[in-house]
Amino acid sequence: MIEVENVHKGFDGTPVLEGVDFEIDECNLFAIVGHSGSGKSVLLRHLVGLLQPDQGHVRVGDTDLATLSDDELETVRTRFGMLFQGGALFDSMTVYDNVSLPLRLHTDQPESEIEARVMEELERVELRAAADQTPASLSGGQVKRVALARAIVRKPQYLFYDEPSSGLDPETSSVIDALIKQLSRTLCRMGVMVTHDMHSVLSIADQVGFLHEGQMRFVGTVEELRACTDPVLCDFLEANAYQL
Amino acid sequence: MISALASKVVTLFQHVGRFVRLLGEAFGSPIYDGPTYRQNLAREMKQVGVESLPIVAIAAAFTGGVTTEQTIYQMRYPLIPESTVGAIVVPSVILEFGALITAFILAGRVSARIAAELGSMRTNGQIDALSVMGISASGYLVWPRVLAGVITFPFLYIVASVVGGAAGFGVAATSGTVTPAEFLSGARSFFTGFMAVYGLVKAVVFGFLITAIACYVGFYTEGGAQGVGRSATRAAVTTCMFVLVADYLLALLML
Ligand SMILES: Nc1ncnc2c1ncn2[C@@H]1O[C@H](COP(=O)(O)OP(=O)(O)OP(=O)(O)O)[C@@H](O)[C@H]1O
Ligand SMILES: [Mg+2]
Repeated sequence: MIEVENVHKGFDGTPVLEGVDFEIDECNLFAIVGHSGSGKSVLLRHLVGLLQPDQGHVRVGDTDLATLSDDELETVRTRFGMLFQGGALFDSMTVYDNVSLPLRLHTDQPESEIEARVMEELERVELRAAADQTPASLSGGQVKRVALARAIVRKPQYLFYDEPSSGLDPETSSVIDALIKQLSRTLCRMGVMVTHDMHSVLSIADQVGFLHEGQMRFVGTVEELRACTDPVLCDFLEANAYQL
Repeated sequence: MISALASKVVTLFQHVGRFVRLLGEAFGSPIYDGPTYRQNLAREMKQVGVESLPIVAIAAAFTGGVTTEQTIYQMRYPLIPESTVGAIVVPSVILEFGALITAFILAGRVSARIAAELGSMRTNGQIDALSVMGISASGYLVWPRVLAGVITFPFLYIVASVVGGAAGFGVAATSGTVTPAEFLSGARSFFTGFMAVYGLVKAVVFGFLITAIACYVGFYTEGGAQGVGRSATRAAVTTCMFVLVADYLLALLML
């Protein structure tokens, strides 16, 4: 369970988030949508403790992220996996080393077990053959898939995705969508996804939050979203309809 | 004017505070899994040390040679004994040039590279990715680099001193003004063990400053590719300044 309560955040006096409230239940996939620059990425960074709210609370499980020391935050984050917008792979390392890093630095597993885990996840994203390549030699879609493998290799309880399918061709993005869906449905991981892609929202999300002018203007199920009544939300959906 | 100065001083203190905090985090965080960590350290030591060796040796050779040439030039007065050349050249290399030349080369080579590397890791989200993985980014990135600087700089310094001294000797021996024996006797009569200790202390301090400042500048890079470029330049310039200040302070304290 993730609870966001009255979160305010501004940069240099310019408010970005102005009282955001919502909750996400276990095993749910929650999509955050909104206009560009509305603060979706900023909100996601609060959920993983990369940013602290100026006011308000972010609770993951029963812990308020703001009250944790650096060490405690590190411990909580061992249950997190995050897919960054650009992938954020370490370019000095091979694909294999990138994906194995979270395991290596946090567990005492023998190398054989680590290898089995890493290969299992690379298999899942269909990039087993790329294990010895460096990120520089991969395409954008492959980078995203490796980053996804790295995000899930530790079997995290909470998964965060920033624009998982932006910049990908429809085929690759539906592969990624399918993976994300599988993770939340079959394996019951909570997922939070920031996206522009209404198609993937409508096909895989359980719940949707529409961030508008610093607040969650709408929170509800995908069905409720489709039956939109709020003119602002309807306009937003219409503007994004070309992606449907 | 005064308020501008005051705000500069405040900014300086803010930087020092963040610098100390970053290093505190880096050294306070546990040293992670052996192999990954040792690999990082080894890679950094190779980049800081081994790859800088040729250029450090060349620069040291020229410095030793030029110092000798200039000292001989000043020897034209008949009353000064010829052995003075060795007595001046060798201690200057050990006390000052060996460490300083190495420091300047590393400020350009190593600190700019470190700042650019960490800066691009910052701007494309790799540092955040480490944090979200629950890995202390400062421990993982800063600590091996600073350690590599502190370990390898003294070796580079020794190489620079030996090469610089040898080049000085070579130039003196072929000058026709000083005999090799005179040069060596002059060098020997002035050399003390303390000089080597002093030089090594400087080397450790410079090795620390060059890598730590570069890590700090790179770690807090802001704003895209431009920011990365800015950080690289800033790291090189800042480390040069701090090396000179530290050089002076160490001379005050130790000599
Ligand atoms: N570190 C920061 N410092 C200053 N301003 C920031 C910072 N991070 C975000 N902002 C500002 O906050 C606002 C929201 O940014 P954010 O990246 O969250 O938008 P977004 O909704 O993710 O947009 P997009 O869909 O284009 O990715 C922007 O105006 C941005 O300039
Ligand atoms: Mg964004």
